[in-house]
Amino acid sequence: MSVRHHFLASLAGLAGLAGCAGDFPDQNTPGDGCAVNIVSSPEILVASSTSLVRLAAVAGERRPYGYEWQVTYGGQPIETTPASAASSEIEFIAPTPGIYQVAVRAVPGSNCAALREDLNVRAPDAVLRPYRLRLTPSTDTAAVEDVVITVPSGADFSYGRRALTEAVSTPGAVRLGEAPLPAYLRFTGVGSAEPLAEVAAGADGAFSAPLIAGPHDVLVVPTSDVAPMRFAAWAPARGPLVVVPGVTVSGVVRDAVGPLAGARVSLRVDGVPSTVGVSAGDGTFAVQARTGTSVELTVIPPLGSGLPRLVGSSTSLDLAQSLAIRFADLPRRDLGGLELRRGGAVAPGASVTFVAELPAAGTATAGSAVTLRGVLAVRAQAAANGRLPSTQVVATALSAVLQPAAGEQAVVTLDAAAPPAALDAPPMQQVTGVVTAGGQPAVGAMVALAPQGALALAGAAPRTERTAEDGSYVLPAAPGGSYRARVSDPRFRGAPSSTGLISAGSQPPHALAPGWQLVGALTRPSSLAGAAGVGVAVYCPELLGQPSTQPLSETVTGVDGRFLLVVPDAPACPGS
Amino acid sequence: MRRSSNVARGGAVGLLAWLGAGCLYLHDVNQRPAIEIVRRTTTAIERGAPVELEAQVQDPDSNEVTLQWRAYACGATTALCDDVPFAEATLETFRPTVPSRTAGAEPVRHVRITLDASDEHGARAQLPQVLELDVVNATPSVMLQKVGTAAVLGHPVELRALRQDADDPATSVTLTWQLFGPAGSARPALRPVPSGDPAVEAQEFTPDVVGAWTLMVTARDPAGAVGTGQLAFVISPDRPPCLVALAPSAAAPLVLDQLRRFAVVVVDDDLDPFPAEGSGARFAWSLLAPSRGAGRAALGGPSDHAVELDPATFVPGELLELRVEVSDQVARTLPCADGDASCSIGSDGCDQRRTWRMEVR
Repeated sequence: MSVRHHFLASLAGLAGLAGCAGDFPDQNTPGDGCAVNIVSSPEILVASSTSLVRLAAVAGERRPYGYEWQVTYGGQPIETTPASAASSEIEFIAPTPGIYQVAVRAVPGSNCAALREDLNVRAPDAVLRPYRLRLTPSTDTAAVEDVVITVPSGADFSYGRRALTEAVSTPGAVRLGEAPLPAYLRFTGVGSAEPLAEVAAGADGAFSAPLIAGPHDVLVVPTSDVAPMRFAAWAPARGPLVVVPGVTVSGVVRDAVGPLAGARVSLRVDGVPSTVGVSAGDGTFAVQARTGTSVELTVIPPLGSGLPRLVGSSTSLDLAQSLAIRFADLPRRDLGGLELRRGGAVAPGASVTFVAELPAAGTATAGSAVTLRGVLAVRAQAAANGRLPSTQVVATALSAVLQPAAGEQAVVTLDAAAPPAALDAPPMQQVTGVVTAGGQPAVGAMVALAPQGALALAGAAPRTERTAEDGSYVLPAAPGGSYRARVSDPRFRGAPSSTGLISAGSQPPHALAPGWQLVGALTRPSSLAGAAGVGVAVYCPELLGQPSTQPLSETVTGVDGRFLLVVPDAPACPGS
Repeated sequence: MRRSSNVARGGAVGLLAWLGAGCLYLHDVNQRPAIEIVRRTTTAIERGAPVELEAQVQDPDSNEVTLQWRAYACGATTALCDDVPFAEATLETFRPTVPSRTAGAEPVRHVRITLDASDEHGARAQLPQVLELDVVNATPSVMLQKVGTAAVLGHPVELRALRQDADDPATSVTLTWQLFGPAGSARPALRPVPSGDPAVEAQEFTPDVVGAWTLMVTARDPAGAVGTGQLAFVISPDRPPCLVALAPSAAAPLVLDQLRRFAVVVVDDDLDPFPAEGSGARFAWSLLAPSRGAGRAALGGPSDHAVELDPATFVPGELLELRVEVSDQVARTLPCADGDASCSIGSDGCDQRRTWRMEVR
């Protein structure tokens, strides 16, 4: 048996407790003799059609004469049996997993409010799954925070009631030796890569960050040519963030001909970015970086070279040695003069991005060698005659993402080694379909088309629309492009889900995914008052310091601080 | 069952006479109970409303007394009462609800109450009690409500009237709507809209003046009884939406060294708060990235409350500006220069524009 909840922190007015809320005061006050706790036995409740759940009311300052209980599930009353004198304990059967709402009030004592509490009853075969809740308050008085919760699968879950944590304005300073160092600072939880606060240290090196009291990991990225640095578990008591010089990583960038000037080189060593170096006329470059084992390398060729961006990672590069970066011998072709068209007509001012992924586009060598892949993304804009100026690209099979006019896109393929005289953008097309919930059209659901493939390489942004009264949606789509559709429902009739790769055209009906409800309530820091307008997003647990971007589900608390969202049933998280 | 409390306990009275030659025993005689109806409801009695009555009982022998209440619905006169009672009871207190119609479907104008009693030996009351009550027509009522929390100039406002009548079907109650606006109003017309509930009538209008408005609705039942309802509300000018919470905050320049999602978390607005079902909040995202050409390029569509930026699609060291502007159903021009990172139409801290500035690493 365990004390699960205190009366004074009760979830007053929780849904499904009809009939009591209007009769009892909203909440009790310390010292009024109303305090009571609910204790459940067993401590972990598992749905069963035979086993009894026993709840005990434990009085606080004054022992009342008796108790009134009410247990509901899904708004329906559950039959309970008194199990002790004065009904201080009751028993009931909880045959279905999910959230049971319990109200108990000490009697006599019409001035006492009912304690309203959610009981989570697990499915017998439940698997415990961790999730990360990100709480984003609307006010500066509460801090952004991540909370890890463990949820038994197969049933709705109540997070209960939780107070937001007060944001403590945490002052500090960044120094390089004794000198103040202007910098960008990113605060994360210890061992986490999820940003909690991002602030700037000014010319005097001073900063103030809205944080939860306690240690944080801090990434410091100086605005000057000083290697960024990560501080583990920093707390104000440790004093200023003193950045020490990193190591100078130098080397040469070459293409098939010789040294390549104007290439940008940057590293991430164990997740910490370096400064950005630009190769000189002799191809040499230098960046300031931290030492470490995992190196991610990015090389941006000079504009107009037609070469791809080189990216790669290695744990064997020895950054103490000179880093030799070499572009592979990639034949290039000038597409100058190529005409851009829109629906067969010349398209003056149209733009195009030539994209391709090249598995082996270069190498990096420092002690050991690593093959770098290439990502080509060359942008060009047609002149008034619709023809491209000189535009170097790798002479290989490419995709051209055409933008003949604002809001219009098309994807066409070409062999740059033998380019056509013109590229024509067909008219925009549509992705259409219907979203359903429980077999009925889901009005108001959100359908987001996320570009994939060539469109993603060209940096195309997703596009979202709301379903109409009949559940239908119409989204503009680039002919030749591919997408994934992510469907979510602000009304939470189902959980968010994504489709496989789709292209323009009519899609089969998409049913909102089955999911489980996550409910809870947030209060202001050190207060029982509901915290309104707090963003609540559910993410997969963070894996190896890799931050996640797309939440599994998200919502905002209402005026009373309560929230409800639906999380997909299927294990959508890596490793789950 | 009730035992009289007005007679001394002990009950039987024995009389023993000594008449010299022997004893004479006289059995005590069981007497009838006495009953009386007391009307507890002091107000006028309406159809559909309860009437409370109480039995006062005396049994000289203090026997248990069984009560029998009956209530009959009557039409125009008490000579036209139903044969079958509409309510019966045996308790001391009788609380029948007066029906609207007699068995013959006539409006109930009177109610006849009878009370009989018998004691445990079968002796019935000396006189069965009868009480005839006049029934009056209940006055209809109307409850008024403005739908939603926002009432904004130039946008339809839906008003609902719930009609109630204790003794007539709600649908038989007719409503008369009157809308009073502030000075300067051209008295916009009320337009009926579906309510989805036969007891509720709904109308909408488009306010043309800000200020205090009053709705008055008169309800009239088939018998001519009239009730009124009044609702005062204020029409406000439409305010621009406010960007309240962004993730991440746009307060300081950022470093874009990993895939990041930039989201509008909360928009405060009278008509189109976000997120909310059916919110009309519209977002305009734009990106200024030198590697993607001069000028701001639009991102996403008006329903997108978030965008993602991948540093791998930009050039390290490049400075980006990601901008979001929010609008509601009213088209407004932001009074700020393009270079302004934030913009507030009212210069009141309610921003319609925010800009994230970041360096790609």
